[in-house]
Amino acid sequence: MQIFHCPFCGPRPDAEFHYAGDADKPRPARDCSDEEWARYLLMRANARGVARELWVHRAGCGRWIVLARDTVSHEIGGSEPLNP
Amino acid sequence: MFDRTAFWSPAPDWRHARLEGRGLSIAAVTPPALWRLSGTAVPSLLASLGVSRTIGPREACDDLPYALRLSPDSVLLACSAAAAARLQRGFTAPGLAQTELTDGIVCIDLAGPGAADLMALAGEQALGTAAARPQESARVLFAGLTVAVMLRSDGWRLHVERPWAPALWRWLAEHVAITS
Amino acid sequence: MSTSRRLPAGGEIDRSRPLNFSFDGRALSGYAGDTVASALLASGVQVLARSFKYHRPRGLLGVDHEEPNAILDLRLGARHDPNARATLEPLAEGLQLSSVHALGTAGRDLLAVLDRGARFIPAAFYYKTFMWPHWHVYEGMIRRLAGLGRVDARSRAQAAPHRHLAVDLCVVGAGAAGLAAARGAVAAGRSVLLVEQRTRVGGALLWRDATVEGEPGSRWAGRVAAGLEAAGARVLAGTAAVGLYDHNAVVLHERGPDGGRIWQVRAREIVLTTGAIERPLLFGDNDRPGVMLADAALEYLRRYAVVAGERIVFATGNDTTYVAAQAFAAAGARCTIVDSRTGSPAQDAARAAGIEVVAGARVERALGRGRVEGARLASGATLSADLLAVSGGWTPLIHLYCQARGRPRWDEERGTLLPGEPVAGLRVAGAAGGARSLAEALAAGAHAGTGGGRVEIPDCDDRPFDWGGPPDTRMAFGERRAWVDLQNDVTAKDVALAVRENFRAVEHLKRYTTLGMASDQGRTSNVNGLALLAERTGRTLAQAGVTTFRPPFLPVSLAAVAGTQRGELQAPLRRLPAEEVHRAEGAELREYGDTLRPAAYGTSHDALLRECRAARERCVILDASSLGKIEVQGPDAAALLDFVFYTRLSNLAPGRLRYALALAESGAIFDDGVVLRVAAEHFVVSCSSSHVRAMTAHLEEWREDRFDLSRVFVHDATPQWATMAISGPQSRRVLEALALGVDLDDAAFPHMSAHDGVFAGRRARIARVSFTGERSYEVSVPAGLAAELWRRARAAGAEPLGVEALGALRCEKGFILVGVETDGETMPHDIGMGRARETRTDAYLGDRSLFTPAACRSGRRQLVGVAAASAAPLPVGAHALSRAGGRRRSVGWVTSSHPSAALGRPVALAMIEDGASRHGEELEFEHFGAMHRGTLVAPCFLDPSGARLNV
Repeated sequence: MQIFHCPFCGPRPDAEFHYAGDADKPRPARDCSDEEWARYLLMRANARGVARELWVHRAGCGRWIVLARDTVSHEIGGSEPLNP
Repeated sequence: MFDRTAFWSPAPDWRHARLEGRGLSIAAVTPPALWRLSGTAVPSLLASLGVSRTIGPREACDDLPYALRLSPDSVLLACSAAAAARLQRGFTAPGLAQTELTDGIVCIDLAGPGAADLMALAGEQALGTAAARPQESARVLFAGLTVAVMLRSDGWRLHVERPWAPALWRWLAEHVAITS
Repeated sequence: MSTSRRLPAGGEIDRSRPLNFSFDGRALSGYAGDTVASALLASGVQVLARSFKYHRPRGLLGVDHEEPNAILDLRLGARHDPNARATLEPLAEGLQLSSVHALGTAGRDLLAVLDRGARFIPAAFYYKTFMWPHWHVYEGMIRRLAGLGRVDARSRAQAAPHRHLAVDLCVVGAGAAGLAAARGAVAAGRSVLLVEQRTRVGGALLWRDATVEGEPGSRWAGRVAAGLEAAGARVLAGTAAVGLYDHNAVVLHERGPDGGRIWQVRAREIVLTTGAIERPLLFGDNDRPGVMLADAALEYLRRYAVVAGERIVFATGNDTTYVAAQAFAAAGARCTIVDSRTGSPAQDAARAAGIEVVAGARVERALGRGRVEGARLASGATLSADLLAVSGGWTPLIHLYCQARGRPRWDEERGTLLPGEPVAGLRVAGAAGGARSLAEALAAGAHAGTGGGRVEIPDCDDRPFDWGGPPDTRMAFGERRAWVDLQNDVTAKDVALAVRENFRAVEHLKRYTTLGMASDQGRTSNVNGLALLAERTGRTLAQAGVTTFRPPFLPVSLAAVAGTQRGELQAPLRRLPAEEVHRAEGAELREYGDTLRPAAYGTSHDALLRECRAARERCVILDASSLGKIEVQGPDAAALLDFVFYTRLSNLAPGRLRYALALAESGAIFDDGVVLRVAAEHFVVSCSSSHVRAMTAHLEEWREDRFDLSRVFVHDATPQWATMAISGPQSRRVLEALALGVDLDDAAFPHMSAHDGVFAGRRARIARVSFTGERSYEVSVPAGLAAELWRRARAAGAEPLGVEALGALRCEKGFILVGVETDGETMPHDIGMGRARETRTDAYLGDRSLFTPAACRSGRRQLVGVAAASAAPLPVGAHALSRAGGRRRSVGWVTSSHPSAALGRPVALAMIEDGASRHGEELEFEHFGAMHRGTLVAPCFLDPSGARLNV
């Protein structure tokens, strides 16, 4: 029942969005080690507190956005587009 | 075998589909042409067709042509057949991707004093009240479906993808029939 | 029989409208304005229920939502509620009430004998007893004896749709403080919603004497509410705020027929003025019918004109009870006050009014078997009584504050839990915030409503509110059991037992004894329980801790939660544009993912084989409109597709199609489909029907992550087109009859190419793509022409093909279905498509994952065909067994299995470890204990060279 702020559409109900994992995870090059690739693929920051999360505004603009969201208090810090 | 034919109501005939009740008239309408346009050349193309602005879910509009904002660089253009004749499928340089959706979108008009009340049953969005945002998408969650909404002087116009239109119509029919 | 009676005048009831109802078969009557509880009380019914565990007789303890005992089975016309709360249910003509879970009636319960064996069934007995030989031997009987009510599976309540509302301020509780808050907010120009759980506004002003702004409190309340509505605020009575969620979302439950209605409110700010409820006292047999909360008795007197007893003993430790005693004395009852304190000025005033006061005394136990007949004091003296009106202090209702993650703090002076640190966006005022007087409540409410602006505080003749201090536990451990949680039948001795067994933390106490876990959420028991825990563990109440409150505040029926999301509206489906012709052709429609599609035409089992034969011998038509058609356009379209797809697409010539796999980053197959290149900068991606939205978002994600947004665009055009697959040896003849303006010569129109044509004056696209293995043409026309295309193709000789038959046909050819043959781990080289893995050096999604140790190891499950040894098809999901090393182990399973009309024997596909190099091996397959045999073969049973594509 949260309200997320899409940088394009403004405040919208969370049901319009779909969660897509941690933001700020650059894709390693193909020659990276198995460990580095496994970290990219499988490890989650699981932050207790402010987390930067990737969401897609499915029922709205369809754009991918990064939300700064506190996983404990559910306070929304800010939002920015994946592609500015 | 598991036969679900009777469970799901048939879709209405869109040419004649109408609902009345709850202070509302609901009808399916067919704009002559609907096109999805994306790219940097969209604003100038719209201007050449006489469309000066793109609209989100909070700006009112009644007549063709209009351009509903779907995403920051993409609109749904509703226009006459003559205007649509200038469009062509595919990508034309520079920066204009065009996809026809005339058959793919069903438009449903909600007209009457009961329109705002019906919107309060469809979802959380208190549309038409908050200040407009220049890049806001006209697409919202309406009765659990993704619908592009347009505010009109007498109510709302809903734009829904054709495969979902029967479900939306069913929702409207049930809620128009409830008096509370 | 009790001695409660109805006064001839006064109260909110309408004596001109009598109402008839029944309880346990007895015909009774009350008035409009009564609740079921007040009508039962006025009718002299004292035993309303039997307790949960011990089947002890129970009566009314309270008057509103704090009531733990009076849960009744209610029938009125078609309506059935097995757990109606007598104190919240308005009386109606023809109500049929009965007690729940008594064997017999509440008045005469044959299971009352369980109370004699109470010693053997204390808290948590089921962890220690009824274990041999097996707990389940006793479970059925014990479950039948416990529980409250019986569900009628036939009832079909249909609740109202949820309403959404956004306001500046939501005020929960329309007592003095709440009304002051709402009025102040409206005066400040804010949009306001005022919510009140009772059927009328006013809160305690409705039954406690007070004068506000020169008029009686209850009249002032009505006037203020009317003024609020006139000023545009919304006032919802009979509506409880049941939950508070993130970002100031408040969920309300408006009571009404058929389960009522849910409101979802978003408020910029919330004010909680939810008041406080009284606690019972802890003494022996304090659960007897005839023991009532003093303030509840006063509310029955004032609002419903019911005097609950003639000879009343008030047991208390606070001044607030004296107000009730005075009121009952004025109504003609003989009243005695037993006060644990000495020297309070209220005692002198009471004596002066003719009320006997026994100071410095406590009730040790209630006397009487089926109902109260008196009280024995600790001193040994006894008093006769037909009503024990008790007050053990007060507890503010701070549930919503706690749901908002507020943490309550123990206040020693008031002896109760109050809100602690403030929560952003939420204010607590009035008794809920610990107000000590009416004036303080009005002031706090007014301030909360304006949020720091100018306030106008209503004046009043101030009434102090004595909170009474912490719970008194001195009489809780006497010879007779003292009840703490009446609804779950938890006694003080159970708390002591839990502590002895080392369940000393409050969360353990709660779960071990079930104290506070009943549907009343411990309203009258939580704080008393904490006090007993503190006393037994030698801690202070501040140290004892407190458990969490979770929504809903009051039980909400599932019908209300569902609202109108039932039947077709529960999970909407996509529909095909030509659905009407499928219905006309007698199709059996079925949900496939999120689309309603024809499974087969006709209901007999033979329909599937008939359709398959038509497909291989003549020509069939299948509605493929739900398959995705996602347009990717722009100068970087090819580059985007090369990245997203495992199959290289940038080298696809315009007018050509290619079957392509898209992988997830884990290397697993995400989706498959056929991609058409229309022009250098225009592609159309098809994908599985159920994956359209995911695939569109998938393409959009990588477009945004890696590309200049002005150079590539993703448009989902799936709804624009209706696509019919016309397939079979005679398909070309049907295409000729359709006259689409396309040269059908195979040289001009080879397999896996596409051309534009014309149908009914509109542009059409025809592609040669086959999912059956026969010559096939997929004709796409604007969706509005779907039915017309179907009819013309049928007229030209095409026969209908359903989805089930298609499944059998593609199985014969070994064509996979993503999600059937493949799972979350299947990689391209597992299904014989390893070439791109070996040759591509540019980056694509999932590339690195195809070279991990897991991806490279031997023993990976690979796609094979299985020829069943018998004439019966192998069951889908049957596991292939290996018995190597004496251990039975699954080495894979059957993924698809169908009878084959063309071959006359069943065909199956499976994923088996190293299957590709084990052709010819016969394996055992097990399915739910039954054994089958099958031989691994190449995953294509028909026309491996593909010659039939050009027949």
